[in-house]
Amino acid sequence: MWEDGDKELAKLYKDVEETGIKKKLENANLRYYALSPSRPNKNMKTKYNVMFWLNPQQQDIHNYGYFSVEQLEEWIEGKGPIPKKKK
Amino acid sequence: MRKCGGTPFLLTENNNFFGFHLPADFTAEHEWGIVNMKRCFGIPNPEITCEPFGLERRKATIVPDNLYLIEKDKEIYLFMDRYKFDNGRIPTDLTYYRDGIGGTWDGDGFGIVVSKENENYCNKIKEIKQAIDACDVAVFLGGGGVFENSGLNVAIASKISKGNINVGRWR
Repeated sequence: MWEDGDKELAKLYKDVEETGIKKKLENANLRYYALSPSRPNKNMKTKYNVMFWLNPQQQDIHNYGYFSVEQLEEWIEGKGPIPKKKK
Repeated sequence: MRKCGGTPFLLTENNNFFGFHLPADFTAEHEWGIVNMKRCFGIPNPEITCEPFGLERRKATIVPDNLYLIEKDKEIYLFMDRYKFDNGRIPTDLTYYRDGIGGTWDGDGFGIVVSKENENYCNKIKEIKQAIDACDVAVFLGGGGVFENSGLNVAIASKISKGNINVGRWR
């Protein structure tokens, strides 16, 4: 049981590695306090089998929350739900 | 070390004792992980994606050289001391307890104190010491809840069954 949990966690982290999203964010100089992976819930539209809890730095211009890999990729381009809209 | 957030309690299954749970307090010392303590117990610290998995990931392979069981007039203390107890000092956080038991821990070590008035606790603390001396102990974070951080568990490895570990909350 314990072993199953460990293996499932290992698989999750391998799936995250395969997306390459952490490297992409690092290259784009986008920093965060936490980017915690989990399996997507039913409301998350994504082609990947992972989603993330993002707690970004510079929260005056970046939103926190649950995001897909695609939304994190949009963040790199300054688009999508993560950049805060200017008032 | 920092005092437990609540009173430590015994881990049991079908009334059979298998370890101590030391709850977390809302302090940074209880949020930094237990890498150094695991090193003292010779517990592997692999990447999340690497083996070993399961109990072997949490089981001691050596006996810490800084672990002490000290009997005083009214209490029994079991604790790891980063200063190797060279001055006979009981860790400050272990000097207060209630309901016959108290605990403290951080990333480097842990301590448990029990009152000699409670024979059950006295037997259990000695049982854990024997398990540690026989390298039959697992040390891991777990328990807690939505608004409560994981506590420290010091459990007898050979008594941990699949039934008594709730995967996910007992890392």
